[in-house]
Amino acid sequence: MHDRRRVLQWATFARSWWIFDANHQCPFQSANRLCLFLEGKHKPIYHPLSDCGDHVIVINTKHIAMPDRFWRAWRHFHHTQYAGGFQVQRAWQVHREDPTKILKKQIYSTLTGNLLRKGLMARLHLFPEEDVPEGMLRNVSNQIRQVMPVPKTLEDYPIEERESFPRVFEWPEEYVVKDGKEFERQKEYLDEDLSLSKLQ
Amino acid sequence: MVQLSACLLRKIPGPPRIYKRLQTFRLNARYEGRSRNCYVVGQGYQLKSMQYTRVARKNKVLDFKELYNLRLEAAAEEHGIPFRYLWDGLRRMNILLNRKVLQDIAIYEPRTFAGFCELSKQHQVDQGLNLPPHSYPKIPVNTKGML
Repeated sequence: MHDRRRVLQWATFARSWWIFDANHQCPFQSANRLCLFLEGKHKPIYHPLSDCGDHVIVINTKHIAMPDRFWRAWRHFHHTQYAGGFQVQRAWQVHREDPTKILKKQIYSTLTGNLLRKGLMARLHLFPEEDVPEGMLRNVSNQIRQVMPVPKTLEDYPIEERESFPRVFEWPEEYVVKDGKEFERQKEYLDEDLSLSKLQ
Repeated sequence: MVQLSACLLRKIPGPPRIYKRLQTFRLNARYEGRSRNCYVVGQGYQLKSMQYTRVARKNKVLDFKELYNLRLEAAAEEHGIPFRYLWDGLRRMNILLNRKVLQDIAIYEPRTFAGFCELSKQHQVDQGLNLPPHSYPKIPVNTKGML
Protein backbone atom coordinates (compact mmCIF):
# COMPACT_ATOMS: atom_id res chain seq x y z
CA MET A 1 0.00 0.00 0.00
CA HIS A 2 1.18 3.50 -0.81
CA ASP A 3 2.39 5.51 2.17
CA ARG A 4 -0.27 8.15 1.76
CA ARG A 5 -3.08 5.59 1.54
CA ARG A 6 -1.77 3.84 4.63
CA VAL A 7 -1.90 7.03 6.67
CA LEU A 8 -5.40 7.73 5.33
CA GLN A 9 -6.45 4.35 6.68
CA TRP A 10 -5.03 5.16 10.10
CA ALA A 11 -6.67 8.57 10.14
CA THR A 12 -10.05 7.16 9.13
CA PHE A 13 -10.17 4.50 11.82
CA ALA A 14 -8.43 6.48 14.57
CA ARG A 15 -10.33 6.97 17.80
CA SER A 16 -10.89 10.69 18.29
CA TRP A 17 -11.95 12.61 21.41
CA TRP A 18 -14.96 14.91 21.66
CA ILE A 19 -16.09 17.37 24.29
CA PHE A 20 -19.67 18.24 25.21
CA ASP A 21 -20.81 21.07 27.46
CA ALA A 22 -23.89 19.91 29.42
CA ASN A 23 -24.60 23.35 30.85
CA HIS A 24 -28.38 23.92 30.77
CA GLN A 25 -28.92 20.87 28.51
CA CYS A 26 -31.72 18.32 28.72
CA PRO A 27 -30.16 14.98 29.83
CA PHE A 28 -32.58 12.93 27.72
CA GLN A 29 -31.88 14.73 24.46
CA SER A 30 -28.15 14.93 25.30
CA ALA A 31 -28.03 11.17 25.85
CA ASN A 32 -29.50 10.52 22.41
CA ARG A 33 -26.83 12.67 20.78
CA LEU A 34 -23.90 11.37 22.87
CA CYS A 35 -24.83 7.74 22.11
CA LEU A 36 -24.30 8.42 18.41
CA PHE A 37 -20.70 9.42 19.10
CA LEU A 38 -20.03 6.54 21.50
CA GLU A 39 -21.36 3.96 19.01
CA GLY A 40 -19.64 5.56 16.00
CA LYS A 41 -22.90 6.37 14.25
CA HIS A 42 -21.54 9.83 13.39
CA LYS A 43 -19.11 8.33 10.87
CA PRO A 44 -19.91 7.25 7.30
CA ILE A 45 -17.80 4.10 7.86
CA TYR A 46 -20.15 2.88 10.60
CA HIS A 47 -20.86 -0.83 10.84
CA PRO A 48 -22.36 -2.56 13.88
CA LEU A 49 -19.54 -5.13 13.92
CA SER A 50 -16.66 -2.66 13.62
CA ASP A 51 -15.80 -0.98 16.89
CA CYS A 52 -15.50 2.59 15.57
CA GLY A 53 -16.89 4.63 18.48
CA ASP A 54 -15.14 7.66 19.93
CA HIS A 55 -14.27 9.01 23.37
CA VAL A 56 -16.62 11.65 24.76
CA ILE A 57 -15.83 14.07 27.59
CA VAL A 58 -18.87 15.70 29.19
CA ILE A 59 -18.34 18.78 31.37
CA ASN A 60 -20.74 20.73 33.61
CA THR A 61 -22.97 17.73 34.32
CA LYS A 62 -23.87 19.41 37.60
CA HIS A 63 -25.65 22.15 35.66
CA ILE A 64 -27.95 20.01 33.48
CA ALA A 65 -31.55 21.18 33.10
CA MET A 66 -34.35 18.64 33.58
CA PRO A 67 -37.50 19.46 31.61
CA ASP A 68 -40.84 20.33 33.18
CA ARG A 69 -41.30 18.94 36.73
CA PHE A 70 -38.79 16.11 36.24
CA TRP A 71 -36.48 17.06 39.11
CA ARG A 72 -39.26 15.96 41.45
CA ALA A 73 -41.09 13.41 39.28
CA TRP A 74 -38.24 11.41 37.64
CA ARG A 75 -37.40 8.39 39.79
CA HIS A 76 -34.38 6.10 40.03
CA PHE A 77 -35.09 2.58 41.29
CA HIS A 78 -32.78 0.17 43.07
CA HIS A 79 -33.32 -3.25 44.61
CA THR A 80 -30.79 -5.06 46.79
CA GLN A 81 -32.42 -8.46 46.01
CA TYR A 82 -33.19 -8.89 49.71
CA ALA A 83 -36.68 -8.66 51.14
CA GLY A 84 -37.65 -5.04 51.68
CA GLY A 85 -34.60 -3.88 49.75
CA PHE A 86 -36.46 -1.68 47.30
CA GLN A 87 -35.35 1.94 47.11
CA VAL A 88 -36.64 4.90 45.17
CA GLN A 89 -34.88 8.20 44.77
CA ARG A 90 -36.04 11.35 43.05
CA ALA A 91 -33.86 13.01 40.44
CA TRP A 92 -32.89 15.89 42.71
CA GLN A 93 -31.80 13.45 45.43
CA VAL A 94 -29.69 11.40 43.02
CA HIS A 95 -28.21 14.57 41.56
CA ARG A 96 -27.21 15.86 44.98
CA GLU A 97 -25.39 12.61 45.84
CA ASP A 98 -23.57 12.29 42.50
CA PRO A 99 -23.91 15.12 39.95
CA THR A 100 -22.85 12.83 37.07
CA LYS A 101 -25.22 9.95 37.81
CA ILE A 102 -28.39 11.12 36.03
CA LEU A 103 -26.65 11.64 32.69
CA LYS A 104 -24.64 8.43 33.10
CA LYS A 105 -27.69 6.28 33.79
CA GLN A 106 -29.61 7.91 30.95
CA ILE A 107 -26.81 7.20 28.45
CA TYR A 108 -26.49 3.64 29.77
CA SER A 109 -30.17 2.97 29.19
CA THR A 110 -30.16 4.64 25.76
CA LEU A 111 -27.31 2.46 24.48
CA THR A 112 -28.24 -0.91 23.01
CA GLY A 113 -28.14 -3.66 25.62
CA ASN A 114 -25.38 -5.88 24.30
CA LEU A 115 -21.88 -6.97 25.26
CA LEU A 116 -20.36 -3.81 23.74
CA ARG A 117 -22.15 -1.52 26.17
CA LYS A 118 -19.62 -1.85 28.99
CA GLY A 119 -16.77 -0.90 26.66
CA LEU A 120 -18.69 2.05 25.25
CA MET A 121 -19.46 3.34 28.75
CA ALA A 122 -15.74 3.16 29.58
CA ARG A 123 -15.13 5.70 26.79
CA LEU A 124 -17.52 8.18 28.40
CA HIS A 125 -15.85 10.62 30.78
CA LEU A 126 -18.19 12.71 32.93
CA PHE A 127 -17.15 15.70 35.02
CA PRO A 128 -19.46 17.72 37.28
CA GLU A 129 -17.53 20.94 36.61
CA GLU A 130 -15.00 22.13 34.05
CA ASP A 131 -11.97 20.65 35.84
CA VAL A 132 -10.93 18.10 33.21
CA PRO A 133 -7.40 16.64 33.63
CA GLU A 134 -4.97 18.35 31.29
CA GLY A 135 -3.77 15.12 29.68
CA MET A 136 -7.33 14.24 28.75
CA LEU A 137 -8.06 17.72 27.43
CA ARG A 138 -5.02 17.53 25.18
CA ASN A 139 -6.62 14.65 23.24
CA VAL A 140 -9.78 16.59 22.44
CA SER A 141 -10.01 17.53 18.78
CA ASN A 142 -13.64 18.54 18.33
CA GLN A 143 -16.78 19.74 20.07
CA ILE A 144 -20.28 18.22 20.00
CA ARG A 145 -23.03 20.71 19.23
CA GLN A 146 -25.38 21.38 22.15
CA VAL A 147 -28.95 20.11 21.92
CA MET A 148 -30.56 23.39 22.99
CA PRO A 149 -29.52 27.04 23.29
CA VAL A 150 -28.28 28.09 26.74
CA PRO A 151 -30.70 30.65 28.20
CA LYS A 152 -29.29 33.98 29.37
CA THR A 153 -29.68 34.75 33.06
CA LEU A 154 -30.32 38.20 34.46
CA GLU A 155 -26.68 38.44 35.57
CA ASP A 156 -25.45 37.95 31.98
CA TYR A 157 -26.88 41.31 30.94
CA PRO A 158 -24.81 44.40 31.75
CA ILE A 159 -26.07 46.62 34.57
CA GLU A 160 -26.73 49.59 32.27
CA GLU A 161 -29.02 47.47 30.09
CA ARG A 162 -30.84 46.10 33.11
CA GLU A 163 -31.49 49.53 34.58
CA SER A 164 -32.42 51.12 31.28
CA PHE A 165 -35.09 48.46 30.67
CA PRO A 166 -38.54 50.10 30.94
CA ARG A 167 -40.39 49.39 34.20
CA VAL A 168 -44.12 49.30 34.82
CA PHE A 169 -43.69 50.41 38.45
CA GLU A 170 -41.03 50.63 41.15
CA TRP A 171 -41.02 48.87 44.55
CA PRO A 172 -41.78 51.03 47.53
CA GLU A 173 -38.75 51.61 49.77
CA GLU A 174 -40.00 49.53 52.73
CA TYR A 175 -40.79 46.44 50.53
CA VAL A 176 -38.46 43.44 51.15
CA VAL A 177 -37.54 41.80 47.83
CA LYS A 178 -37.11 38.01 47.79
CA ASP A 179 -33.52 36.86 47.25
CA GLY A 180 -34.45 33.77 45.20
CA LYS A 181 -33.07 31.21 47.65
CA GLU A 182 -36.40 30.10 49.11
CA PHE A 183 -36.36 26.78 47.25
CA GLU A 184 -32.91 25.82 48.54
CA ARG A 185 -33.95 26.54 52.11
CA GLN A 186 -37.08 24.46 51.58
CA LYS A 187 -35.01 21.59 50.16
CA GLU A 188 -32.71 21.52 53.21
CA TYR A 189 -35.73 21.51 55.45
CA LEU A 190 -37.21 18.53 53.54
CA ASP A 191 -33.96 16.52 53.77
CA GLU A 192 -33.80 16.86 57.53
CA ASP A 193 -37.43 16.20 58.33
CA LEU A 194 -38.80 13.79 55.77
CA SER A 195 -37.50 10.24 55.34
CA LEU A 196 -37.43 8.50 51.94
CA SER A 197 -40.44 6.33 52.78
CA LYS A 198 -42.64 9.38 53.20
CA LEU A 199 -41.64 10.65 49.76
CA GLN A 200 -42.66 7.41 48.12
CA MET B 1 -49.35 -41.07 -29.10
CA VAL B 2 -46.45 -40.80 -31.39
CA GLN B 3 -44.53 -44.04 -31.69
CA LEU B 4 -42.31 -43.83 -34.67
CA SER B 5 -40.44 -46.97 -33.87
CA ALA B 6 -40.67 -50.03 -31.64
CA CYS B 7 -37.84 -48.91 -29.39
CA LEU B 8 -39.80 -45.82 -28.26
CA LEU B 9 -42.70 -48.04 -27.15
CA ARG B 10 -40.99 -48.90 -23.86
CA LYS B 11 -40.96 -46.64 -20.83
CA ILE B 12 -38.15 -44.15 -21.19
CA PRO B 13 -36.11 -43.94 -17.97
CA GLY B 14 -35.32 -40.52 -16.45
CA PRO B 15 -31.92 -39.51 -15.10
CA PRO B 16 -30.48 -41.78 -12.40
CA ARG B 17 -31.95 -41.22 -8.91
CA ILE B 18 -28.51 -40.49 -7.48
CA TYR B 19 -28.34 -37.05 -9.11
CA LYS B 20 -31.38 -35.81 -7.20
CA ARG B 21 -29.94 -37.20 -3.99
CA LEU B 22 -26.52 -35.68 -4.64
CA GLN B 23 -28.16 -32.26 -4.90
CA THR B 24 -29.62 -32.66 -1.40
CA PHE B 25 -26.30 -33.90 -0.04
CA ARG B 26 -24.57 -30.92 -1.62
CA LEU B 27 -26.99 -28.43 -0.05
CA ASN B 28 -26.77 -30.13 3.37
CA ALA B 29 -22.99 -30.55 3.32
CA ARG B 30 -22.43 -28.03 6.10
CA TYR B 31 -24.83 -29.72 8.53
CA GLU B 32 -23.84 -32.45 10.94
CA GLY B 33 -25.09 -35.95 11.75
CA ARG B 34 -27.63 -37.87 9.74
CA SER B 35 -29.06 -34.71 8.15
CA ARG B 36 -26.06 -34.61 5.81
CA ASN B 37 -25.58 -38.33 5.29
CA CYS B 38 -29.16 -39.68 4.96
CA TYR B 39 -31.34 -38.54 2.10
CA VAL B 40 -34.67 -39.07 3.87
CA VAL B 41 -33.61 -37.14 6.97
CA GLY B 42 -31.92 -34.43 4.90
CA GLN B 43 -34.99 -33.68 2.77
CA GLY B 44 -36.73 -31.77 5.58
CA TYR B 45 -33.62 -29.80 6.40
CA GLN B 46 -33.20 -28.84 2.76
CA LEU B 47 -36.80 -27.65 2.53
CA LYS B 48 -36.52 -25.61 5.73
CA SER B 49 -33.21 -24.03 4.70
CA MET B 50 -34.70 -22.95 1.38
CA GLN B 51 -37.62 -21.34 3.23
CA TYR B 52 -35.21 -19.44 5.47
CA THR B 53 -33.21 -18.33 2.45
CA ARG B 54 -36.30 -16.95 0.80
CA VAL B 55 -37.09 -14.80 3.84
CA ALA B 56 -33.47 -13.74 4.23
CA ARG B 57 -33.29 -12.58 0.63
CA LYS B 58 -35.77 -9.83 1.47
CA ASN B 59 -34.40 -9.06 4.93
CA LYS B 60 -30.88 -8.62 3.58
CA VAL B 61 -32.06 -5.78 1.37
CA LEU B 62 -33.84 -4.09 4.27
CA ASP B 63 -30.80 -4.48 6.53
CA PHE B 64 -28.53 -2.89 3.96
CA LYS B 65 -30.97 -0.07 3.43
CA GLU B 66 -30.99 0.62 7.16
CA LEU B 67 -27.19 0.58 7.25
CA TYR B 68 -26.95 2.94 4.27
CA ASN B 69 -29.40 5.31 5.93
CA LEU B 70 -27.36 5.34 9.14
CA ARG B 71 -24.15 6.01 7.25
CA LEU B 72 -25.67 8.72 5.09
CA GLU B 73 -27.22 10.47 8.08
CA ALA B 74 -23.78 10.51 9.68
CA ALA B 75 -22.07 11.70 6.50
CA ALA B 76 -24.59 14.47 5.84
CA GLU B 77 -24.52 15.64 9.45
CA GLU B 78 -20.73 16.07 9.16
CA HIS B 79 -21.42 18.80 6.59
CA GLY B 80 -24.22 20.32 8.67
CA ILE B 81 -27.30 19.18 6.77
CA PRO B 82 -29.80 16.48 7.82
CA PHE B 83 -29.94 13.65 5.30
CA ARG B 84 -33.60 14.10 4.40
CA TYR B 85 -32.85 17.69 3.30
CA LEU B 86 -29.86 16.51 1.27
CA TRP B 87 -31.93 13.75 -0.36
CA ASP B 88 -34.69 16.23 -1.18
CA GLY B 89 -32.20 18.70 -2.66
CA LEU B 90 -30.55 16.05 -4.83
CA ARG B 91 -33.92 14.95 -6.23
CA ARG B 92 -34.79 18.58 -6.99
CA MET B 93 -31.46 19.05 -8.80
CA ASN B 94 -32.16 15.88 -10.79
CA ILE B 95 -29.08 14.08 -9.38
CA LEU B 96 -30.63 10.62 -9.22
CA LEU B 97 -28.05 8.60 -7.25
CA ASN B 98 -29.31 5.80 -5.05
CA ARG B 99 -28.38 5.25 -1.41
CA LYS B 100 -25.71 2.66 -2.09
CA VAL B 101 -23.80 4.85 -4.52
CA LEU B 102 -24.16 7.90 -2.28
CA GLN B 103 -22.71 6.10 0.75
CA ASP B 104 -19.85 4.75 -1.39
CA ILE B 105 -19.12 8.33 -2.42
CA ALA B 106 -19.33 9.48 1.21
CA ILE B 107 -16.69 6.94 2.24
CA TYR B 108 -14.28 6.89 -0.70
CA GLU B 109 -14.78 10.38 -2.20
CA PRO B 110 -15.55 12.65 0.76
CA ARG B 111 -14.84 15.87 -1.20
CA THR B 112 -17.41 14.95 -3.84
CA PHE B 113 -19.93 14.27 -1.13
CA ALA B 114 -19.15 17.63 0.48
CA GLY B 115 -19.84 19.22 -2.91
CA PHE B 116 -23.22 17.51 -3.08
CA CYS B 117 -24.07 18.86 0.38
CA GLU B 118 -23.09 22.45 -0.49
CA LEU B 119 -24.96 22.37 -3.80
CA SER B 120 -28.02 20.92 -2.14
CA LYS B 121 -28.03 23.62 0.54
CA GLN B 122 -27.59 26.40 -2.01
CA HIS B 123 -30.26 25.03 -4.32
CA GLN B 124 -32.82 24.88 -1.53
CA VAL B 125 -31.95 28.41 -0.42
CA ASP B 126 -32.33 29.63 -4.02
CA GLN B 127 -35.73 28.02 -4.25
CA GLY B 128 -36.83 29.75 -1.05
CA LEU B 129 -37.14 26.56 1.02
CA ASN B 130 -36.53 26.48 4.75
CA LEU B 131 -33.46 24.71 6.17
CA PRO B 132 -32.57 23.98 9.81
CA PRO B 133 -30.79 26.96 11.39
CA HIS B 134 -27.30 25.36 11.34
CA SER B 135 -27.65 24.16 7.71
CA TYR B 136 -27.47 27.40 5.75
CA PRO B 137 -24.41 27.61 3.46
CA LYS B 138 -21.60 29.59 5.11
CA ILE B 139 -19.98 30.45 1.78
CA PRO B 140 -22.58 31.07 -0.93
CA VAL B 141 -22.11 28.90 -4.03
CA ASN B 142 -22.42 30.70 -7.35
CA THR B 143 -24.64 28.34 -9.32
CA LYS B 144 -25.12 30.72 -12.31
CA GLY B 145 -28.69 29.45 -12.48
CA MET B 146 -27.53 26.13 -13.92
CA LEU B 147 -28.95 23.80 -11.28
